[in-house]
Amino acid sequence: MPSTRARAAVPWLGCALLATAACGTSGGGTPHRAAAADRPTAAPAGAEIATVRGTSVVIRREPGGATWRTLSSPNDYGAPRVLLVDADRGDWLKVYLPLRPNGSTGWVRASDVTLTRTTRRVEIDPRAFRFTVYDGDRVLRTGKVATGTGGTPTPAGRFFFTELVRPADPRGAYGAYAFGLSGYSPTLSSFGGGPGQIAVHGTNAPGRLGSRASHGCIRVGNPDITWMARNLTLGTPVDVLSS
Amino acid sequence: MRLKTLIIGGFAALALGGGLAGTATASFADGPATPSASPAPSKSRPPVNAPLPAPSASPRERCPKPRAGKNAPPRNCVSPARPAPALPGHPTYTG
Repeated sequence: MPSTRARAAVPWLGCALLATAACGTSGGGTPHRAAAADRPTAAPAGAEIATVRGTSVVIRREPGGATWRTLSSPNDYGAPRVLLVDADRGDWLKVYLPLRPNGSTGWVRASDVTLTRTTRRVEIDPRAFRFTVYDGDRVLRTGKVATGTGGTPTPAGRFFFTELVRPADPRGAYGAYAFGLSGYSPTLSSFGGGPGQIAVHGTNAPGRLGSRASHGCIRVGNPDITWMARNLTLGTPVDVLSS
Repeated sequence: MRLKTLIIGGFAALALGGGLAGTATASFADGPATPSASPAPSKSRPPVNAPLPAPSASPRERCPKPRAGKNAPPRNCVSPARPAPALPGHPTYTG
């Protein structure tokens, strides 16, 4: 059994002993949440974040398999390469990858990375145009977002922060900070000289928060992105619900 | 008698917990049942969007001690994650 799942089971043990009905479950959730339903590392124990030790890391399709991809560290923005851990099998870790197609996973040697843990995660609800930052099950912060338009939608799924960039012009379209995400636009293969990568970033048009206004990125208010920059780490899980 | 009760209770708890583990993990991960509603305010918790205390300078390491006699694979130390410094740059995200 992966260790993350083993740790996740502990609170439920007490739950079952006390009163199963009182602890309850979500009843399977709604279809709206189905895209991010399988979240083995989003349990109260938190998510594990793998930071590459050397200048690159080999990705394999299965533990012990042939080299599939190699990711450099630091990444193209100069940030240390981090990967969100999906499953832990001792010597091998299954990780989410910042590659197309969105949701790609692969395996890395545990000895090639250092592990840290966060109990915080971000949830984006495109229907409500809101973000919520959780610490375990506790809400730390919530606020308005703008998401992609119909032609350039924000993709749903589980992502993670890959880098934190402070734009040269804090009054520009990206606002005070931009957290790059591990996901990509489903409709744009490139944008502004980049690969169509999406992000959570501030804005110079706060009046458009609460609407579909972006090319796929998730815009938040500058006070909110500043708070995130001070309180969230690279590798933090970001779950974008289905719209 | 009391010790016996405790032992039996412990085994029952382990068995019950193991059986629920798969379902319980997935259910919790789905988050609160009502996505747009915040949890009920608690007197012991600060209000939502309240400033958080600054992170401590040296996060406490939580590395498991090696188990004597066990031939366990080497594991990395898992310590709390820390906010990363922002890099100056010109983003090319989709905006």
